[in-house]
Amino acid sequence: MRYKIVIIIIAMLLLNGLNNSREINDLAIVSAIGIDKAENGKYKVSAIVLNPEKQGSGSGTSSSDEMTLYENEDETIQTAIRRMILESPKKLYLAHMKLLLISESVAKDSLLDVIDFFIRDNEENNDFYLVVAKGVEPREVLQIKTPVEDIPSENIVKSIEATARYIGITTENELRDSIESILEEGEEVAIPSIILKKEEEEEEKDSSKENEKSSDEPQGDSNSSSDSGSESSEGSDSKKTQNKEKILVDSMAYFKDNKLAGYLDMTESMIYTVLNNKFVNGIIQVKGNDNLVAEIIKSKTKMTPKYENGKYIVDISLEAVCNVTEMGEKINFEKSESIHDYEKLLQEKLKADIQDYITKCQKVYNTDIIGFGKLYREKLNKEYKKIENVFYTDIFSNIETNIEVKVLFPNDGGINKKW
Amino acid sequence: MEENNKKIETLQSTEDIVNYIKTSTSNSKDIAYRKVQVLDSIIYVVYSETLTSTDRISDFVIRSIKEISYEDIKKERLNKVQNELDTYIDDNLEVDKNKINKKQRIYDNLNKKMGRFEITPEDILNKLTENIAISNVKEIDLKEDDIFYYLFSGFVCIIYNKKIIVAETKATLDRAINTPMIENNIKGPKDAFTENYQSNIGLIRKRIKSEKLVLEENKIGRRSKTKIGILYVSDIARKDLVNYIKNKLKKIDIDAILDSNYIMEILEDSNKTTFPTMISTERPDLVSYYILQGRIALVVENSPFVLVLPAFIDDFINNIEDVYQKSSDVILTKIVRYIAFFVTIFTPAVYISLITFNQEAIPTELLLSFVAQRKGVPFPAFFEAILMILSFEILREGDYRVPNVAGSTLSIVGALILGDAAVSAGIVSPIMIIVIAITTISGLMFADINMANSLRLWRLILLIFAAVAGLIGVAIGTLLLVIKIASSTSYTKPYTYPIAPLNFTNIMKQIIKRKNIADDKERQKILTDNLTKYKIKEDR
Repeated sequence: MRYKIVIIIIAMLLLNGLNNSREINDLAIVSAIGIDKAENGKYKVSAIVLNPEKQGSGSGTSSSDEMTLYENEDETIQTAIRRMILESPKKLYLAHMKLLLISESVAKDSLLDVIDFFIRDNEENNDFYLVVAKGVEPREVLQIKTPVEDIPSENIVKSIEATARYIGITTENELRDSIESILEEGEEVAIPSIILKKEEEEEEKDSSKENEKSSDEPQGDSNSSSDSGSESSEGSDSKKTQNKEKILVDSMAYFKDNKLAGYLDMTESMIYTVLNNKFVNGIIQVKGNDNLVAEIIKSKTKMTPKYENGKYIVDISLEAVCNVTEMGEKINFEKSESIHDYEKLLQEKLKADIQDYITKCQKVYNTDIIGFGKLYREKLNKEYKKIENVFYTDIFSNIETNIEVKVLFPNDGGINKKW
Repeated sequence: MEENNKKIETLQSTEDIVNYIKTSTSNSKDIAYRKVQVLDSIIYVVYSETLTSTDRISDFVIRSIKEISYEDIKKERLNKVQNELDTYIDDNLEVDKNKINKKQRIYDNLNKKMGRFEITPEDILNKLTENIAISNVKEIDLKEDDIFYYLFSGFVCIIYNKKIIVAETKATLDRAINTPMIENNIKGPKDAFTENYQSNIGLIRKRIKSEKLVLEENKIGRRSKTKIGILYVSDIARKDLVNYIKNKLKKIDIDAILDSNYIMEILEDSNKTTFPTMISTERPDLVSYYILQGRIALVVENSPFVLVLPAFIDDFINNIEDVYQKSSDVILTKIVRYIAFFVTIFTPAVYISLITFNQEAIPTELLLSFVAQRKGVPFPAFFEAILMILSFEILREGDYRVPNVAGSTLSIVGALILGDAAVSAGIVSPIMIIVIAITTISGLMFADINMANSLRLWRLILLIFAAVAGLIGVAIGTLLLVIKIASSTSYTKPYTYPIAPLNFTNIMKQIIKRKNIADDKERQKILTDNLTKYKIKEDR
């Protein structure tokens, strides 16, 4: 018996263990994948593979070799990625992928088709960010290097994370957090988007205009944004001035029936993260006598669905704790105003923003990124069963909301008087 | 034995006995025979030259034999008779004036008679026993006692008139008491056991000056006749455990016991585990600490390691020195030890499974660094690990055996070859050096060599599991390890106590932190029924 065990162990070792053992040197570590639609309708997949040899070797290395871009076109994503082996000496290893960048055309087609491979493949961790490349080809973005991060995909990932943590207009949602919403009918997701900004003079003006436009007025019309996107991508094709291009995190892209429907503006994006309790930290500015900037350090939203007298009502209560981080000269808490006035101002501002956002979602965008459907399904299941079929057609846009916002200033940043 | 007895019965004279010794030892040259003339008769002094101190023999034995004189014996006899007479006279004669005169007359007559007094061998023997200025003197019987045991224990045998008197004249063949060689400490007592049985027992007894500290002795080994001392505190240790050990020791019939490890292996419980189930220590303070808990110590002659049983796995991880340091600070030390315990078993296995099976579990930056470091290494990671472990084991084993003079050479060569050259040559990756180094260093924390070896074995077993099935394999191996440890017993006591069976108070008291001595009022129930350890004396 003992000999048998020894022989089995030796055999297992010589046969390189169970068949899924592989040495790390034989893996091509993919850090990001970009998916675009080719003109013939095929998927155009580009994968960023990290070259570990150059990592951490200190200064003096040429940054051009940090990564390799593999590209392939095929009818399905799996075949496209697998056939990259024809080019790459190693098998593409997707478990360390951090970013899945999809172009607008792909997002408008079907989100589910794209992510199916990634949520099905058993090697995949589903811990990457799904990001829309707004008005630009993913492969182009994936090649832009910045002085801060050598690898473009890392740069994008870190930008999104930082934005989510300190600005609050994107979420740090990994794919696995959104899968449920994507698969559930009626529920919709909003995902971060990035844009490419040129620093050439003419282009800069254009994009800044575009930015203003996107942040000021609601972009219910998805066509207009896609149009501007295609314009800018054409521009980038003509001039390849790498160093002058910048990748910026933009507001959230919202989906309707798992198809890209448009983009929220900055305020809406922030309200989206606040209402979904994904908000970590961000700043908000109000104007009374003078400007006051508050940093929201803690926010908690509670939504309670109700069905009363044939009306569907959702109570939304938001509690936000803020620090005063900056205020204008004219504000003087000791004399005329009290800090509570500003609390009230903030409350009103937030309340108006939320009301605005919800109305827009219901009436203009007509998509349930707020999660009302989920709310009714989970909390008032009996009621929901009755109205399941008509919820999104009839009821969703007529749900009333009671919004209650409470803003607290635990301290005023240490200085309560201007000298 | 019977044959021997028959032989002994045929012995007629003193010469016969001497001849018997000569023939039995095949006339070994280190046994000295000396004839000493006393009055008319001859006394034989037999001793082993190698084991005895010749000075002591000549000073205290031979000189005192020679001092025996006719006059002395006669005087002694006279005194004795006079004393007897005195009492007789006092009791029987009437009190009158003549009494003193009568007495004097009787004494005078006695003196005249004594002139013709013959000295018997008994007189000489008595005088001899009296004269020898050595405390440990006794008469032995050839049939009952083994003369050779005394001869080779450093006793001198005085043979006269078919009688044998032995006197202890041991030469000191032992090291002096020194600091511990293996179990070093910063604070606390710094004496250690030596090969001398007597001084070993003395080191313990001087710490527990109580009549309750009992020493029972066994002689084990047909040829070595090694003394095994069973030490325990009679009102703390459980009688059943003491009897259990005594019975087990009685059954041992072995050629020779050369070290305490012999006893350790013989007494080991039937469910053999690779982990040590008996504490083997060279520290008398530790032994005293343990037997005051209710454990039993076995002191083996000629071994500087005293055995203590039963033992729990915690005893091998933690250290007596905890008791000598501030209890509040010990908690961190303990955490470090537990971490080291797991590091030394699991690190290579987890590393191998991470880089050959479960790459997704490594953070991306670390994975890139691993890949970069392993670039150009031609061997599979498992082989690389085996290579490094083997080199480190060779280095370690060499370091143990190397004479002190060559020690530095070995470490320089070892460090250079293993640390630097192997990496530059591309045979192993730097990260593997780190893995094996942290593993080995963590393993050094466990002073007990049996424990260290056992950890080494399990490290290898887990490594093989990892190479075969990755993290799942490590999980299976860990399960096996836990089953193996948890199913072990140490002399009927569960090895993993107090973790399994769970005793929460004791976990808090000794596993997680060491309880302050002033708060630690009770002994462990598993070892003793006498629980009171510390109480505050009441003021009067």
